[in-house]
Amino acid sequence: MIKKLNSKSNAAANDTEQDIAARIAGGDEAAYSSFVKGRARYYYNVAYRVTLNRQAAEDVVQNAFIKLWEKRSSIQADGNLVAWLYRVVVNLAIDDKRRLKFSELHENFEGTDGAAEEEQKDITNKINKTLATLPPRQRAAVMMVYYDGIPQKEAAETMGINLKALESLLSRAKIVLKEKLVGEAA
Amino acid sequence: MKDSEIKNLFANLNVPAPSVGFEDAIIAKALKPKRSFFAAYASVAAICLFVISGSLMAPTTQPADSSDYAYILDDSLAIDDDIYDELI
Repeated sequence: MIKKLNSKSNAAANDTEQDIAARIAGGDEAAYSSFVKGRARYYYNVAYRVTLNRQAAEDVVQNAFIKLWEKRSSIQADGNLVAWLYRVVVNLAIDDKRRLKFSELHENFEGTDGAAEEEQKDITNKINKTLATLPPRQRAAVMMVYYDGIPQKEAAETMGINLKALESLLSRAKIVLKEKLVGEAA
Repeated sequence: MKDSEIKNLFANLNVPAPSVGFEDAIIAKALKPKRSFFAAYASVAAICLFVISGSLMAPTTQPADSSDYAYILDDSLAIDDDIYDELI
């Protein structure tokens, strides 16, 4: 999973993840700053897909990175820093109480005009509304397994649940999404 | 429902850009030096100790003036006199 996450993120560092982890663990502020600048956007996208709320996603990522700095002394050099942070972000996003307000869907498209953009706006609004019907835990499970391609076992570990519980979340999410998409298409 | 359809839902989700300076705000907040409360705690503790020790050391009763001492002295002399009287 780490390799996959690494490849998806924007980190263009010469250092390996272990080097960065070791430097952060040693209190290297430059290494930490570089890590934040390289990865924050990726984790923001993860958090947004769970919260569907921009401010909530920003807060989640901020809290996750602050937690990382506060717990830097317990980082293991051979540990999986990227995966650890992914787990923190996903769980903070699930726990966040703020939810997408449908009025915000339109705010995201302010300033756009034209027929093509209107059509795109409608499609994206429909997607947002469809995903918003899922509870955060189901949305997080679906995002990890079907979008990020994380194996179900690892996704379950990330959420701190067993495999059966994850399968149940995925199954229920599929039913809801199918009903929503078929219902809107009809 | 196909897995790819679900993947497309997320792929086509419009993720708004975070606020300007988002990363810098994280760094500034995380690296902000935390205020040390040790000096504040130490000074409060010193004041408390001073007040408590002062109240413990202070005498509970004090003679009002020198005549009180004289009265005590006179009594002791009188008692002493009685003792000597008996001995004689």
